[in-house]
Amino acid sequence: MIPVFASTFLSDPLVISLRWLIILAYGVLCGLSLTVFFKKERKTLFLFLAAAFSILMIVELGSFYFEPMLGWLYYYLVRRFEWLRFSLNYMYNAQLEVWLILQSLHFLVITVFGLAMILAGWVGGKHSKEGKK
Amino acid sequence: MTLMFDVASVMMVAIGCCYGLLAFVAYSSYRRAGSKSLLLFMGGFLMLSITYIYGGVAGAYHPFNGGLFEHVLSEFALGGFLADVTVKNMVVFEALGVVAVVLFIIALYKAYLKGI
Repeated sequence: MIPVFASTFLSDPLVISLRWLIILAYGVLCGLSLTVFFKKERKTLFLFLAAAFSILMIVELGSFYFEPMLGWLYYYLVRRFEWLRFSLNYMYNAQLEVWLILQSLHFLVITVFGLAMILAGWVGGKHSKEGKK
Repeated sequence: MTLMFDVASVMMVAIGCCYGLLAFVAYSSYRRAGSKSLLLFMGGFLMLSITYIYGGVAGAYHPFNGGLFEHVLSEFALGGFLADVTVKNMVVFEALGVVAVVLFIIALYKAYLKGI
């Protein structure tokens, strides 16, 4: 049995506009990080942040493509072309795998963000100690 | 009403937990460096953590799997009450993501002005 995907309801206009807003905002965040990277000190930290935000943007864009395919589009196609059900089920499972791989990129993002945060604490701590002296 | 934790839902809950850990790392960095922008980053990570845990649990909740409503799903009816509940879940999920993004933008702007 094909499971019901939560995003079966992604056709809601408010949900779609919020998704676009998030994708654009991640793009802006990537740009902001790169701006700070070129203009300020501690370049590695902001390069890590830019990398994390750009991967997040890719994940969101991928989800925006795959989730309707795993939801309402699948149900529409199955109803419209009943004779294609076997192939559509195959397509659904294959795309679900790709969606899972895409979501696993979040772990990469978390690692890069973690490195950036550790670097911020490490360098910032060193700076504040120097300031106290 | 059934809660069915499939691979996608479990993965989303796991991602949410990892973002929670990341928020803790950001807080530790804030304690060490004392920069307010790190606190804002921590807020953003916490929002993402709540978003993914919420999304994972909401995704595991399948109101149509009880048998009684399966015919509604097979007819692909979006107008029903249960469908409306799922749409609200999706709106909350995306709205939390927007809050996280706004926090990140303020954090980066502060970092740009004052440095981390």
